[in-house]
Amino acid sequence: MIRAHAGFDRWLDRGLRLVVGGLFILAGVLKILGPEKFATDVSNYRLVPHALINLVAILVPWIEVVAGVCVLAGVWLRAAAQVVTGMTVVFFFVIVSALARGLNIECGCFGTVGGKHVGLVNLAIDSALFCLAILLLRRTPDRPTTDADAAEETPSPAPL
Amino acid sequence: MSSSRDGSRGRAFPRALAIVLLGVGLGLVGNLISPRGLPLVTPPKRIPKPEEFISLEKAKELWSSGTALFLDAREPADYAAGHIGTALNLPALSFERHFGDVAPLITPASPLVLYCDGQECDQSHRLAESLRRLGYTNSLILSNGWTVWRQAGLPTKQGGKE
Repeated sequence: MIRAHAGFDRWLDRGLRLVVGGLFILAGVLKILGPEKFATDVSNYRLVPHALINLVAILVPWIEVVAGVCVLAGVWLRAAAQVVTGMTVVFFFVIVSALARGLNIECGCFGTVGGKHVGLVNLAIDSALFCLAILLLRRTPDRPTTDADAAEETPSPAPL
Repeated sequence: MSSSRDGSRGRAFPRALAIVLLGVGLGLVGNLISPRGLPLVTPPKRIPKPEEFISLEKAKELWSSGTALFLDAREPADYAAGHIGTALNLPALSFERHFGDVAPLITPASPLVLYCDGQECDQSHRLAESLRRLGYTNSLILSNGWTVWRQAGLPTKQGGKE
């Protein structure tokens, strides 16, 4: 029973890492392949000063990819989970802001794919991603997840 | 609480920062070496003058009479999903690659109506700029063109290049 539970836990963790890490890598790569289009999408939200639009369009996708790779590979997992969770929170408020202002714009969430206009569907997808990221964060063990982490950890003294 | 648990948690934030900084570094390097790299500082936007825009009613007249050629400035996938009937696709973001398809059909004096989609969309503006640089100055922009055309129930089509 305990072994079955541990097995389920392991598969759940792997599944979470695959979905969250995979989606972030996909989203980042699609934007990297279409930087001008993503810069246009960033501009459309009218949240970033004009001069900084290109910088945001250049950097955000790569942060997504690096965080996604770390999640997928289980490297610095807790830290990577913090980054992806933070990004979903930022995206949530960006989408809410666009909806509140009634902007008829493309989401830009997954690069040039689909060209779907920002709406409640995007909010729902981002919320789902946020929930998965939070679940990943909560399930990220404090024990080492890789051999490198294990080498860094020092054993704690036994309590008196 | 064990010290290893505290140690892990204490390291999470610096590692998170390192992940972000690694992304920043790779982004800057990737942009530098990419043929599609963007200028780090966004160039100033050219705002079209009011006389460069056309109303929906006027655009409908030009379309009905066949007087103007309509050009869809959006990406090919958006064009294929639906476009103004008889409009050709000339994506603003890949102008150089696609202009050759349209060039044989127009002259510098040809009346053109350019459109994209969304109140904030400036792809039609970029297309107008690209055409202007090549001497095609007789173009007008239908703002938020795809949405207003559809909402007016005017003829549309689906599918790739006409």
